Amino acid sequence: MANVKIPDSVLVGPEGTKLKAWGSSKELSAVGKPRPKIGAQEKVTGSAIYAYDVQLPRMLYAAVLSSDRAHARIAALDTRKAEALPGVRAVLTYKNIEPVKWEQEGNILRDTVGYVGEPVAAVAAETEEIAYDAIHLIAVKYDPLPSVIEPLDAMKPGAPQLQKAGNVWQGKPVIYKRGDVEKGLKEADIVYEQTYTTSVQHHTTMELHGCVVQWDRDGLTVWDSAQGVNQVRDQLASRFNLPVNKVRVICKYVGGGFGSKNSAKHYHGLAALLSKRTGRPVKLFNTREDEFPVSRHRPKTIQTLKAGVKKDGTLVALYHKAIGQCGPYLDGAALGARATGDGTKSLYLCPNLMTEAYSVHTNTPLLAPTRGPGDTENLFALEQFIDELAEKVGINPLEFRKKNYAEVDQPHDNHHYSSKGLDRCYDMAAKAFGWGQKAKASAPHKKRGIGMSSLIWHGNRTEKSQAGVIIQPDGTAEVVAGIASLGVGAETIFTQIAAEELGMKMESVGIRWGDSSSTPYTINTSSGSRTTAIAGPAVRAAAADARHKLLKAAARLLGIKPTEIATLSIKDGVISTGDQSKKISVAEVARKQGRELIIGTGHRPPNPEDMAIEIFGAQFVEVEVDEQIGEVKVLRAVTAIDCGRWINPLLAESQIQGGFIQGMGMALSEERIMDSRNGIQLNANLHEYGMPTSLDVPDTNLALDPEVIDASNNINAKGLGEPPLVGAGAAIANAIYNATDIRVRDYPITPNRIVQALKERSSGTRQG
Amino acid sequence: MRKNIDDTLKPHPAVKSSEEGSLSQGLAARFSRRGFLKGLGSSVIVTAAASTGLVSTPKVEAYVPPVGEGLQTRALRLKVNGLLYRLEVEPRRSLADVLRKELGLTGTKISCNRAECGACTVIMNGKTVYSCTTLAVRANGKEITTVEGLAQGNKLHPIQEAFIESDAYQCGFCTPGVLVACKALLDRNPRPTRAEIKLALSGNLCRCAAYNHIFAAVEAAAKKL
Ligand code: FES
Ligand code: FES
Repeated sequence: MANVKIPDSVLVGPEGTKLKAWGSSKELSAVGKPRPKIGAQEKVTGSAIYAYDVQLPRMLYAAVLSSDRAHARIAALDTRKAEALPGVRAVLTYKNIEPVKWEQEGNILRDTVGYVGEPVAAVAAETEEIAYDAIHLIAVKYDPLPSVIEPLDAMKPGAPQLQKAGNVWQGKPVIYKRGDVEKGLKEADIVYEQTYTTSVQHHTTMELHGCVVQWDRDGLTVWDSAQGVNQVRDQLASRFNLPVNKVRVICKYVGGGFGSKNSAKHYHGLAALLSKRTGRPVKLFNTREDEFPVSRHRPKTIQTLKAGVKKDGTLVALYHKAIGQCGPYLDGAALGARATGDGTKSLYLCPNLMTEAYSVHTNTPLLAPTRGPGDTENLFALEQFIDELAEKVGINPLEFRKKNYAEVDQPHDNHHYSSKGLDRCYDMAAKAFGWGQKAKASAPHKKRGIGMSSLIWHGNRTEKSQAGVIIQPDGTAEVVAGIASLGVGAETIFTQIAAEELGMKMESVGIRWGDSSSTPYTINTSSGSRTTAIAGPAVRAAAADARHKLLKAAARLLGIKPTEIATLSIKDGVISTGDQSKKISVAEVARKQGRELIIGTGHRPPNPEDMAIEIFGAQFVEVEVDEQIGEVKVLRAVTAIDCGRWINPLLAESQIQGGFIQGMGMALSEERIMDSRNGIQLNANLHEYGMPTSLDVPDTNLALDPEVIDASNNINAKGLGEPPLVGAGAAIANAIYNATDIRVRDYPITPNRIVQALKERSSGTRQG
Repeated sequence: MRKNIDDTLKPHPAVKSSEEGSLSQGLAARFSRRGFLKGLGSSVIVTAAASTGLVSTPKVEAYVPPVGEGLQTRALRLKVNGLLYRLEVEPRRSLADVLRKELGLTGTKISCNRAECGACTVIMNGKTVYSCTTLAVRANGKEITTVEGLAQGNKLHPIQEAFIESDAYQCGFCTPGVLVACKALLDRNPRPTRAEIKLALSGNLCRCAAYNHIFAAVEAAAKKL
């Protein structure tokens, strides 16, 4: 993908200069190179400090009592025994808590509960054990209120109404239309309809959710496990009505986020109020059992797709209706209406299209973005459906997809994409995989199958971002960025970007991050696979500014006119004129500057207005299905992703492999099992929840780079965190079909479901 | 996908049957021989490993938690990463809590606190155990290795080097437990096959799912050992 024209508007440099458009990564020295992560030594020696590890002098431990009712009013609450327990320092309930508005519904603790797991009381005590002893001494009497758990029940007339607008979020579905679906279906040769369901997926981060808070006269300091220090800081300042400069959020490392550690949550508020009340630092972390409801999750969905195709495989009409389950409150509810996402709207050329998405309030825990929210649920259904359509018209599924390839972004005024390497992804992944050939199964009762899926994830919108780059007196550079480190390696990538722009060696560039008080507003939170694409360009701009200032200082020292600094360049930390006649090292310039540091600042130029930005990819898998016990083994996976430039191929591979495995979990085993009479989750533990283990991982889990240079920003990157999960499910489901001739349309495709389907087929009650 | 329910009752998969308790006698002897100093105001005493014969006794500033109502403390002796500790604990404290809260060894993580994830994996008398579900009093007199004990001073263990080079972690929260399980595996089987690696790590969950790179790292470290 050479010869991409990068618009001048994204290459704005300091003082009217223009940044160089980067060519292929082969021509670059730091960007595009595999590099182990910064902080690696800390992580492998156990010295990395997570919020969970923070222990402060005089620190108290908090524990939370949560509701075991799906919907109830608290009739009586007796905390006397808990308060009398030696070592207990504070007990908060709705009765004695100061009014702090937390959700649209009101105060942080209320006299009603709307789901099992909703916080009812919080205790701070001298030890964790005493805090939990105290929790068990609190007596609560609930008056039950009418509740509804299943979204389809909640949509029935007469269901208990959980919101003023009704149980459908905002009182109506979210609708998108283009063309005329009815007309399109009439014109089609074949009309086909199917329904799919996806299950709740929990984030199950290995570091639990929680924080350590110290609230004193100097303000509020939070040691957090958060995806963004700035977002939590802003939200706590606003909810507690504190000046922003009195709130400090520190988070260097996060032990897993996947969308669940955005925003200030209940636990932040309760820990803060306990600290305020006791005058002591307070540590509040969920238990693993509490974590399942409290850390929120991906919605379960029920999706119906209907399409019209011509005999030659041309898609002429597509209708997609999705019902997602959300909690009783408005908080998080929008996420229940996102399954009719970019996959349906953008992935295939289709003139007549309509989507209809319902998020339905129920008495179940609240939603949070979960790696690839919306598009994942969307593609798990859509990409099985596309395979079914291809079969109906008798075309190879890959050919069917290529036939309906969309060169422009239909829902966004048919804009051209800043880059679209999906065709390359299809071809290179198919080739590496050996598409079309399947090996022989390892036993007579086992069947092999292959399957594929496309993937799409919405690219970033224009957002503001700023970063700094400081040249220290010894000539080393330090990037300063307001982010937290989730483990994907954003901080490492930033140093690569800065090193590239500065012409310095990677080893000479460090980074400071993870503290809202000492870093700029680089990003509110790392969500939506945005950090590289939003903050990376700001880092490059800051490095360009520092470079410009370095060159000016060097020009002075070398006796070169300020107007001629364009003749200077930096390579491996040495500044020289084009003819090499004059040279000076960065270190020498920095030393001469002394304490008058060179500080570069930069902000992100807006995206070009006439371009659509989407991330694309293709995933291929081979499975073996044991028809006796219904077990599915994923043997091989190949993923190619066009996320623009791969800044660090080693870390990109980690993302893709890990994302695929999380998607595999959602496809095959991860499921919330909830008693639909009372809203109690029956598998709120890691053992029964069923996330993949080392034994489930395919030995071949290949990540391929289509080497796309994206035109939407100065680093040519689009974002990679979420996409690798998006297509995993349908690729696996399609491979299972290829192996067994049965379509399981309900995820996760557990052994039970497979055995059941095989039984139905042999008894003649099921076709396909 | 799901582990058998019974698996939670079994020792960590990396465990090999081995001699238990042989150290405890030696430790006890050593303790009495050195005649432990009673630290002023502290419930923890630490000395350098006896074999080094150091004159100075490093002290650890210990957090002294109050004891729950009606509970008696129990005396406890541990050898952790080569250092001897003597402390008093509530009988219900887990080994993981003692390591983290009282000895300040926060490399060992707690994630499920019920023997399901392996974040708390440590080596006790040569065998990997889940320290979250090992009562501290049961570790009395035993020799413990945590992630902090893998490197020799500044020299990383080959498995640590390999984890860095292979990017065998993302968030890194499972990593201490995974590393300890890998070290235990390599100690007893310096040339593990892929299947043996997977089995040895099947009691350690990594939600970032860095598994492929972890397998590669173990294989790379095995080559260097
Ligand atoms: S914390 Fe011990 S096994 Fe999970
Ligand atoms: S690296 Fe994050 S859980 Fe393993």
